[in-house]
Order: sequence, then structure tokens, then C-alpha cells
Amino acid sequence: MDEVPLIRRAQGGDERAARELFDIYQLRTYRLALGLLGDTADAEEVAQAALTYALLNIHRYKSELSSFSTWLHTITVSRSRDKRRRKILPSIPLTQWVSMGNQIRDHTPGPEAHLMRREMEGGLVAALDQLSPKLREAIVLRFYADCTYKEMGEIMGCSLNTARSRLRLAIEKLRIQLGDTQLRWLATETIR
Amino acid sequence: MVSNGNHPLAPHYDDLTLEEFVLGQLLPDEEQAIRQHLAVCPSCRSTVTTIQALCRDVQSALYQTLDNAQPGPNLSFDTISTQWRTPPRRVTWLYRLQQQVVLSASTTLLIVLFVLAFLLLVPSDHPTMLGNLEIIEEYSGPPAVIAANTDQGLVVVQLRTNDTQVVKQFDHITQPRDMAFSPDGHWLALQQSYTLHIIETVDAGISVRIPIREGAAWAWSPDSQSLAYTDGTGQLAVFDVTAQVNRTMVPAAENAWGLPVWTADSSQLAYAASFPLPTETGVRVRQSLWRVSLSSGYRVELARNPAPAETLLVPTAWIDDDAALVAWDMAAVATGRFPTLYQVDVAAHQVAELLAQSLTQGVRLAWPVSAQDTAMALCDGQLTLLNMQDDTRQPITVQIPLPFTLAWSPNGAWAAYIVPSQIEGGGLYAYAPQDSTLRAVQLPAGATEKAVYWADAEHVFVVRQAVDKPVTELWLASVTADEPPQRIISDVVIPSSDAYSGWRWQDVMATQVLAF
Repeated sequence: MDEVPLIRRAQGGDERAARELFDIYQLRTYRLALGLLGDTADAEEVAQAALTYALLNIHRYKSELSSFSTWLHTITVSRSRDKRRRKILPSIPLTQWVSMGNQIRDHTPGPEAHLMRREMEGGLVAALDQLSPKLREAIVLRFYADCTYKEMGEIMGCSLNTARSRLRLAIEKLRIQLGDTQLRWLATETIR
Repeated sequence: MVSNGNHPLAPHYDDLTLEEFVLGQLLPDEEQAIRQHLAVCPSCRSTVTTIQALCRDVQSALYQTLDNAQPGPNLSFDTISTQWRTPPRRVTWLYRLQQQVVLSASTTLLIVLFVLAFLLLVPSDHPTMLGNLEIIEEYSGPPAVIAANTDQGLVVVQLRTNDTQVVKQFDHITQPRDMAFSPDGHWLALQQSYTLHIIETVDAGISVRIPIREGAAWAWSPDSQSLAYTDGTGQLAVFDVTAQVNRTMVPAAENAWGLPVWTADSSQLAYAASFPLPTETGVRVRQSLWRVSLSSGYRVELARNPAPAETLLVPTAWIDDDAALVAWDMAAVATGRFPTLYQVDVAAHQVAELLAQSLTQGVRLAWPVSAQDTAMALCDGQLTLLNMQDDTRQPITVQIPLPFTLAWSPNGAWAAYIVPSQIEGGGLYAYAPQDSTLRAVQLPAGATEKAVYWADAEHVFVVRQAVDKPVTELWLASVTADEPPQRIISDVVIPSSDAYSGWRWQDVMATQVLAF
């Protein structure tokens, strides 16, 4: 769907258009916030705050400067940072999510490989939880939101080169935290 | 580059550079140099494999956790709605102006009548604009759907007579690869980064994301129900779009790779398997062609280790009512030769060389097999029409340069093809094998022809690259009548060369005619 007319209508004061934009972006915003914060209640609060700010201030949005989703991501990242500043974030929830399983892929590993994978995924997500907020932002924006480096820079409020450095640093830290054994297993496992 | 001390003649890249390589942060020249180094350096290759695996698993873990997450009822528009109605709320100056200017009823009516009269009496040929993308409004071809890479992200455009509209826009998809519509046009498959996206182009717009690796390839079933894909790890799976279920047909340990090929009734798939995978180095100990039944999951090896030993067969089409399979030799392409065609007798499990060569684009034949089992091929250096069923060969007698891409019309009566041309607009030809008719389809100057797809029995879609800037256009042209060609879309974005190494026209645009 072409969202440009919808945004223009909302900028003109049309509440129905604003509601449609809310419906389109609520899931994406919530999941991004969840990726950044790791806590469902905080993510919901941040998503509500980001969408409220974006829609009530939609007259500030300039389509020639960025796409609407990039603008909304920027607000979401900013609100997540505010949230984090006010609260020490838990490091457990991401690890719990792994047990939710994958609805899309149908892997059929043997029991040993299955156990190893569970352990590995737990380690990986725990390592993600250990990253600093900015490095975690880089990981989530690149690998979940599929942002380009340019978009990452815009969203995180830094230069393209800084965005690149943060992502590389995040990978480096994950490598160190996971250690050689787990990484070798990652590279050689053939179940997936 | 640093030396490891033990092998002064085989220096290694440091981890920092290899991480930048995996994350696509290097310049094309540096990237190429590393690729060459990786081919001969097991140590750096191992590091790259580890980093790639880590990135893939990070992505996979995020998808698994976040794509299943649903917000609670507290996330709602209601609080926004209350504030939306509470003045003062800032709106655009234009909106304020509109609110303040009170138009009398007669003036409003007059303006409305004037606008209506203008719209009805003055024909408009102004295109629809989306960012830089221009889409014609007075389309005259068959109903179709188009996916195009634009500066506003990926857009899906629906084309109907005198009615074109953007039905989907994905601003987060900025570097699509290998876009392919399902035959009914309802689904679009594409790759971005290490993710296979399966996107519904109509209705609610379901979107599915599947992690894949380098070397993954996919094909839609003729009945549009399933997408078969090899994911680059050796696994072959089928995603059912109706049930939204993914099913592993061949486990990763079996080393399936390349493009799976569906039978016409969507009941079976042909695929290749190789130990090690072609993306890995090492002496190949086994390579074979298989078929797998979708209903039973039963797999049958059709041919193993065809001679000569270095041959690497890729299946490309089922022929003779699915009694035989056509394959080509990918190993030849790697050495710069035209690949030889092979025919596999499915019942007898025998492979026969066809003494004919073809041309390829990636994992597909650039000269594909028609619905009548005919292909253009080089036989003894002569461009020839080869009927695969009875092995009859009809040399093409008219003088044409070797086409770099070709498409058969749905009824097999015409082959539309593009040749390298120095003249702008002079690269498209159509050849009718029955009476050896050759037609040059002239298009306007300003762009050169790059790819061709059939729209119906007489019209083709032509992808053209503008001469003066790195953008693409889509044209509709008749191959049988002297109708003026029609430019449908312009300013489609070509991927930047440093985004990743190499790109194909499927990364820029995809077209699919809608059946009614």
C-alpha cells in the first residue's frame, strides 16, 4: 500500500488516516522496541509513546528527508534510550523467548544436536543481552530491521561510519563472549 | 594483511578486515582481493565461515523471538485519539488555511464543476509519481503485477487497462535480490541480506522471513502454492503459502544446492546434490541429480558422478511430460566455456550428453527450454533450435548475433531475444522458428535493452537501462504488429556496485502477468 497519501491526510488532520498509520506500524514499532529493550512491558510502553509522539507531531515529518519508517524508528530508539536511562534493564527475557520455538522453519535435528542448539541459542541471546545499549541498537537495526548503514546512522543519530563501527564492534564482542568452542560449533553444525 | 609467522608465503587477513568483509563494509576492490585469498586460504576461510555463521544465527535468534511477539491491549490508538481531538493540536499551515477560508456554497460548486469538466475533457498523460519513480496511467497491456527497486524502497505496482496503482511499498527493503513472483502474482519471493522474504502482494499482506545463506536459490511451483528453496546449507525445503508451513524435503546433510526445478503438475522437484557443496572448496567426491516427491517425501537418485569427473550438473527443465530432465554443466561456466547440455532419462537413470552448448545467467539458462521442449543452442558452433524430445536440430539460417538473453512466448511460436547492440533501442528481436521469420522490434533511443519477458502471445515487457544515468525503465512492445511501444515505469533504481559483488536484472525488477 502507498502510505504517502495516508501520511498527507494525517498531516492535514484526518484522524482515520492517523489510525490506519497506527495499525500499519504498531507491530513493527513494538517488536523493534522489544529487540532494543528485551522486556515486553517496557517495549509496549515505548511503542505507545513513540507512536503517540509520531502521530501527534506528524506535521513535523518531512518526506524529503527520510522515509516514515526511518523517522518512526528514530523516535522509537530515542524513547528506548529514555526508558533505559530511567530503569536498569533486565537481562533475562530474551533468553526466555528462545523457548517459544520457531513457527516457520521445520528443523528435525537429532536429540544431541537439539540440546546443543538450545544451549547455543541460549548463549547467543545471553551474549546479546550483555551488549551495551548502542551496540545492541546496531545489531537489532541491522539484523532485524534490515536497515542500511545510512539508515542506521540516521536512526542512531550518528555518522554512517560510526554506525559501521558499532556493528563491527558488536560482532567482535559477541565473538569474544561466545568463545571458540561455541563459535566452532556454530560454523560446523549442519542441522539448520 | 598480516603474516601468521609460520607461513611467510601465505599471509592472512586480520580479524577486523574479515569482519568488515562479512558485514559488506569494504570497497569492491578489497572485497574481490579477499575473495581470491579465501579461495586458497583455509585459515581465513574458516574465520569468515565462523563470522558468517554468527551473523546468521544472531539474525535467526532475533527473528525467532521478535517475529512471534505480540503487544498487549495497552498498545492502542485510543489515547492518541483523545489527544488528537483536543485542541490546540498543531497541523500543517495548509490545513489551517483550509479551515480558515470559508468558501461559499456556490463557489465550491463552481470549482467542483470546473475540475470535473477539466478531468473529463482534457485527457491526462501525466504519470503517477512515487519519489523519482514514474508510472504511466494509460496502460494498455494485459493485467500484470510488477515489483521494482526504487529510491523509496521496494514497490509492487498493479497494472490494469488505464489503471495503474502502487499496491505495496516496503521502504525497509532497499537491496532486493532475485525477485520472483508466484505464477498467480499473489506472492513475491526475494532475498535481502541473509533473509528470504515471502511477501503477499494482495489483501492483508502476510510477510514471512526465512534465514538463508550465500548460494540459496528458489522457484515457485506452477500452481503458485509452494516456494521450493535450497537455503545454502544443503537443505531443500518447501514453503506452503496457503498453510503457512515450512517443510524440509531434504535435510542439510544431503547437500542439496542450486535451483530446484518443479514438474508441470507441481508434484515433484528435481535438484542437485554435491559433496562438498559448490560454495565450499575441496575435492568433490560425489555429485548427483535427484528428484523428490512432494506428497510422500520419497527421494530418488537419478544420476551420479556423470563423466567427465569435473562436470557439475544443474537441472534446468523437465521435458517429455516429465519423463526426462535437462541439465547443464556449471563447471564449464567457471572456466569461461559455453556449458554442455545433458539429458537425464528418469526411468533408466541414464545421462546422455546432447552435443549442444547453451548460455547461462547465474543458476538459470539464458536460452531457456520452451513449453514445447525446444531450446536455442550451439551445435558445432552453429546457432540451432534443438528439440529435446526427439533430438531434431534445425539450424537458424538467418544471420543474427548471439543473443545474451532470450524468452519463449507462451505458445512457443516466437522467441524474443536481445543482442548486444551499438544502436540505442535496436537490441530487441523476435524469431519465429516455424517460418524462420525474424523481426527487429525498434524501441526509442535513450536506453539500451537488457532483459525481456512475455506479457501475452504478442507483447513483451522489455527492461531497458537509461544511457545517461544508472536507472532502469520497463517498456511494453508488440513483436507482431507495428504498435508504438509504451513506457510503463521509469527511474527504477539499479543497485549500487558496492552493495555486494554483482547483481542481476532480477534484483532490479520482476514482472508477472495475471491470469483471468
